[in-house]
Amino acid sequence: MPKTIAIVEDEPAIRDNYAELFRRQGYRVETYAERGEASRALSQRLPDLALLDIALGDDYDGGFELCRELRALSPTLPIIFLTARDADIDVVAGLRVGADDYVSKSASLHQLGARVSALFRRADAGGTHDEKDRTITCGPLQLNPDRMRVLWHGDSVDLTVTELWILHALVAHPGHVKSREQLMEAANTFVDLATITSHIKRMRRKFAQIDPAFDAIEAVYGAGYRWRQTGD
Amino acid sequence: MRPRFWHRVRFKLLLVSLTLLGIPWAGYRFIQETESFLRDAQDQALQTTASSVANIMHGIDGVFHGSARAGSVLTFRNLYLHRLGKQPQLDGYRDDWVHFDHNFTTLQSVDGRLAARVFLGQHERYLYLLLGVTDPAVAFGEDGDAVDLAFIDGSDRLRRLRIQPQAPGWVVARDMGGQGATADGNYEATVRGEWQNTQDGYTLELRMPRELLQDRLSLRLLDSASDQVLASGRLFPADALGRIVSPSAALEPLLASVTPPATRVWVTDHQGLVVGRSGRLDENPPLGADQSRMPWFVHDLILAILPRDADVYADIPSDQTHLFVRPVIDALSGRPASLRRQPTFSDAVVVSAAVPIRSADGIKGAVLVEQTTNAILSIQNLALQRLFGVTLLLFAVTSLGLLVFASLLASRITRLRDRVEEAVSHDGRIMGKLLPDMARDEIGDLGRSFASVLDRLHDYNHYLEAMAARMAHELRTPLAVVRHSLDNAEQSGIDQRDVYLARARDGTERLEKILNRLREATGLEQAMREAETVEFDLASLVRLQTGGFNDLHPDCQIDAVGVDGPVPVAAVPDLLSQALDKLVDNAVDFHTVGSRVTITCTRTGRDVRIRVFNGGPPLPEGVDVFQSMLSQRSGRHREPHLGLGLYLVRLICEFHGGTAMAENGVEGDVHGVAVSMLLPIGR
Repeated sequence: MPKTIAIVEDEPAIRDNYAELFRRQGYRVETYAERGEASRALSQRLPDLALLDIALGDDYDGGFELCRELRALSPTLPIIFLTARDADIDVVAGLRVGADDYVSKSASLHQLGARVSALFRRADAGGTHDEKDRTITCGPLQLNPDRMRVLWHGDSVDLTVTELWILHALVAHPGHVKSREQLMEAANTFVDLATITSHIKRMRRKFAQIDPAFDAIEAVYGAGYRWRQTGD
Repeated sequence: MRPRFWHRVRFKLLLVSLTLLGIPWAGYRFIQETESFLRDAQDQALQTTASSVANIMHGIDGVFHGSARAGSVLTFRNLYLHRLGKQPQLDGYRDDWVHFDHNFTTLQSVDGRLAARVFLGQHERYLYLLLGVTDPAVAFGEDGDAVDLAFIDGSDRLRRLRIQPQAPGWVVARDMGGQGATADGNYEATVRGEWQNTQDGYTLELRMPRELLQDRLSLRLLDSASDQVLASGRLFPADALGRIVSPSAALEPLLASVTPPATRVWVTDHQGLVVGRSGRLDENPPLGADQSRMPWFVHDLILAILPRDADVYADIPSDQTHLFVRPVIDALSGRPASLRRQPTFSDAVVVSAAVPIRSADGIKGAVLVEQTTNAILSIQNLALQRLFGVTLLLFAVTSLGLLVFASLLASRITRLRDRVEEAVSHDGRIMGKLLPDMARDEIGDLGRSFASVLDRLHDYNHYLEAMAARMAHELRTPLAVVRHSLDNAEQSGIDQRDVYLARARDGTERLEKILNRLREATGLEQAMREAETVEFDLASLVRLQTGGFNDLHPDCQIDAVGVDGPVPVAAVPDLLSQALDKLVDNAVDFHTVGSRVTITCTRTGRDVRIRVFNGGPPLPEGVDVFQSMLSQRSGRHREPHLGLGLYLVRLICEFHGGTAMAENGVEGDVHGVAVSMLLPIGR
């Protein structure tokens, strides 16, 4: 049975474009233009993944409200925010509404698709208990790219898909400096270079919440970032 | 960069303080005025004193002999009897007489070739007579030069003696007999003398006993070479002989009693010979005892600026016996006079006044009263010193005060400058707030003004940044549409491609629309430059446009109220119609479904108000809805919305000299927003 993706977006052209993309990729797509309608329909039947716009018609931040409602219904439902404003990324991250990722509206369909499939992979991995674990262990860090999970000293760190991919690129070759361009490529994201910096900043903050002494992500001035192995 | 010293406020204020130097000048002028006043008063006082002394002298007998008539020429001279402190040597040389140089009586022939200086003195019981004669050719012998004396002896007889030496040296006096008598050839043994030639003549020293003669004596010199005669008086008759004048003992106490302090009073006979003298001049130096307390330069300065306008330089020592000088000469010829003279080697100026002593048959003498101006100088000096001191003090205090004040001002200005510099970065970004100055003066005001300007600039910068973000957002949506449509077109089959391409085209059209909106704002300025004001009926324009609005927005009812009568205005119809268009667009955008939009047009005098009301959400608080790129109220975004509409309305209002305002309002029972244009365009 095909997976269901719910798209809540008030701009018809964008909504249609997304819907047609995912239908072509074999998903079942449900589209909604405003919060009330989406809220009613989705609470009846949860989709497998939700794609939410932040501003819905007159509802300046209807997307956040909807996200909270959905998260209340299901803590595991993958939710991706579509953002039109650069400032929104910070708002999404700052509010901790429980989104799994956020994508700029001007990002290409390819990037959106990559994130959607990554989230589905994580959901699937979370469901099954595969013995063939591809977990990367790097000191106290354990990163499982299939299950999209990160553990630090055994505690789960709640990273978005983008952040996880950036972290994965760093720990795949610990100690090697990764430039911002490389990290952007690895994260399969379309952002400007400054956005990488804020991603890194948010990741550090998330690690620091678990371990205030966290300093493994190191900035190399003028070059990029690297993962510093414990004992370096 | 700190300004150079002469550009600084401090220097300029110091420069201004130089005007204080006007104070000593003004003071000096005042002192001069005072001095002139005091001088006049002193002159007046001296004249008065002299007159009163003259009045007293008028009634005194026995002191004055003879009188001068105004205008008469003085032909004969009485001889003044000087008291000699020590006995002169009878040697024919003048050494002993040097001290009395100023008291010689001078006799002179008309042609000036023959002249004699005569001095009469008494020491103990002898009379001494000194004759210094200028005579180009001295001759001795029977027909040589001779000196004749005529006097009344103790037994009231007129006697005449002749001295006609054979050679220089000891001389004898030959008796020439009495009145009308011929020479009897006897010698008067009590008269002794010495004759000595000098370079330009001769000197004769004579000694005779005081008892030999009473107080009548005439002197005659005969020059044989030029056959000229020089005489001090007649040689006969007996009562026409010249007199020996001596200071009157009776006069001294009388004069002393009327002489004011620091004043010298002289009384002369009609020939200017001093018969009485009293008092003494103030001998303190003009700057008095204060001198020691003054720095030398102040002393010098005061001396330099004190006026000393003496008429003549002349000395009148206190032992002067001949006062045939101005102003006594004037007095003797009948005119009271005064004179300012400056003695040599003295800072003081002596003021003198002379008045005649009149008698029945002429002027029998004169009174000369003298005072130094030291008293005035002293007052002046004191005033100048105080002036100097006060000026110096005032100058110092004011300069210091100004300097402190200027420094205070300068430092406050500098501080303000530093704070402004700190608040704005090198590249013009506003770094922080400027704390407003609490002072209530102009600098404080300037500081507050800077603070408010910086705040406004900061807000404006903030607004510009927000506008950039907003532009990005507005452009991103159509950009996403185009991009995703092209992505889809790439990935989908041929049959669907047209749909995606059409959608991409839609997106580009929306981008273009955004650009058009932006251009509209800039184009408006162009339109306003070229706009022409015409007179037209605003009501009919509103009626006409309302019909068009209803066609354009079929889902919203738009009514024009109160536009039945004509509203003549002078304005630019195109601009007003555009503004109305924007107002209605805005109202329709925000109206609640089912409510209606009303347009009213009212006129009060010249003021015309166009008001558009829509039922709907209230205005956001604290926001100027007329700013560009502002769209705070949540509206339906069917169209790209840049928030430029009301901004254009405001520009058009300002162009017509009016204002635009927005307020929450109620119409009937519908709550909503009214946006009005208030324009002074009525005709």
